[in-house]
Amino acid sequence: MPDLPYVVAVVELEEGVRLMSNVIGVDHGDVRVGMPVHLTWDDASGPYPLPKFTPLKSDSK
Amino acid sequence: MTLYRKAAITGIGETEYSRSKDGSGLSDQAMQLQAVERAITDAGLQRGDIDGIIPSPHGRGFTYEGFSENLGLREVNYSTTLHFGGANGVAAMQTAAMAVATGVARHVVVVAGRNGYSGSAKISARPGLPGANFENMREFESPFGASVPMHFYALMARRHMALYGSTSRQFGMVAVCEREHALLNSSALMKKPMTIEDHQNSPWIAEPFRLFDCCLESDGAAAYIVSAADAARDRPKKPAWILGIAEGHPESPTSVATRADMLRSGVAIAAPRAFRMAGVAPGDLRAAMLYDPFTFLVIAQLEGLGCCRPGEGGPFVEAGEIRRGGRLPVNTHGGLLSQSHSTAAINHVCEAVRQLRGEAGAAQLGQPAPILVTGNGDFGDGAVAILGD
Repeated sequence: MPDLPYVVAVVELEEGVRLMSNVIGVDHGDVRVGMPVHLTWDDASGPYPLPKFTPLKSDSK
Repeated sequence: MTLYRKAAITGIGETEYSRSKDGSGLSDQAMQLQAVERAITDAGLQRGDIDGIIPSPHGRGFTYEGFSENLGLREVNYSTTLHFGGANGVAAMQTAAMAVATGVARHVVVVAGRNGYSGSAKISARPGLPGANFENMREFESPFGASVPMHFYALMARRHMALYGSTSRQFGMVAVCEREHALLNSSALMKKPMTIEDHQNSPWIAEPFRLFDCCLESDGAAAYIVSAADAARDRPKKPAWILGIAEGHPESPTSVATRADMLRSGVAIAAPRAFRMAGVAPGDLRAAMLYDPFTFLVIAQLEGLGCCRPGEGGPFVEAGEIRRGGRLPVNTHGGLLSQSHSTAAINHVCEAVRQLRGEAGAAQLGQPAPILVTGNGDFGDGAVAILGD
């Protein structure tokens, strides 16, 4: 289980696939529906690295 | 052929609802038996008249064998069990009506109940999602911390807020209105008035849900009897006729993330079939008992049923339209939020029947028919019943 608070999000990839994930590297109050994000692998998430997402730099300001 | 007026609810029974660390004093099995016996008495039937039974898989209750042995049923001609979580109690009405309309059985009892507060069936005490119903969620969604029901419904609520501008205060008004109704119902667990400020001051559980957006956990069981049309007419109490009934299921039922539209629930999918069968339009309804594990789901169902256009459910609730005296009174018993949770929507069915009979006490509506009941479970399974006199 991630540290609290954590952001659970449904992420849609450019190819159209959707998956459940976490948005990390951003204050949870700044996360918005529709926010562009990119993939980052979380090697610290347990026995298997999990695909997580961070805001695209252009959107993080 | 449809199921329009082919079957009626002729008996209802509920145990006491409780939330005590000392327990309810009854096992899951004992409370289910008590609810069934009360429904049989209410219908003016003898135990041996019951020839069909639809038990719920929740908790540590009986399968048909236990009811047969403990009630001394002479002949069980029909039994099945559904796996739709909180939709079970209403979805079972469809299969019960099918059984009695075709002559397979004459009196089918539907029952659910458990020690959902004091017993092992307490949802908040579970580490995750059990059972085959949730395979993809458990494997692909729970590793990201979406591990209990409120996490998934919170995602849906957040999407609704983003699409339509619905607000936490609108969610809160669902809880406030249902609490007002619960104060009229002696069997409701919550006895203190709630203001919108109380709701807004309650702590976050999973944003955008605060504590008072989440339903109770409680102990208790409920049952009702579906009888064939010819067997319903000579019962001591006025039958509650099934005018329309349908179940519906979401796309990719064991994954919320991969649904094309996570707001399109089984209730929304079932609703047009139920209304068509009943010959009733959403605007004709006089009351609705909507399955309410979270406040947001009342707003979502008002829209999914067609009682409000998409995005108008929040303002409808905020204007007080779901109060007694509003345009569509909702959950006049207090619902899962303020009466009790543990019967897979059967407490909602019981309240609808009481309203139709004129037995709803201080919560009685002047003209309750037609009245709609929903069940919703397992992140999107749904069922819609429309009852009339």
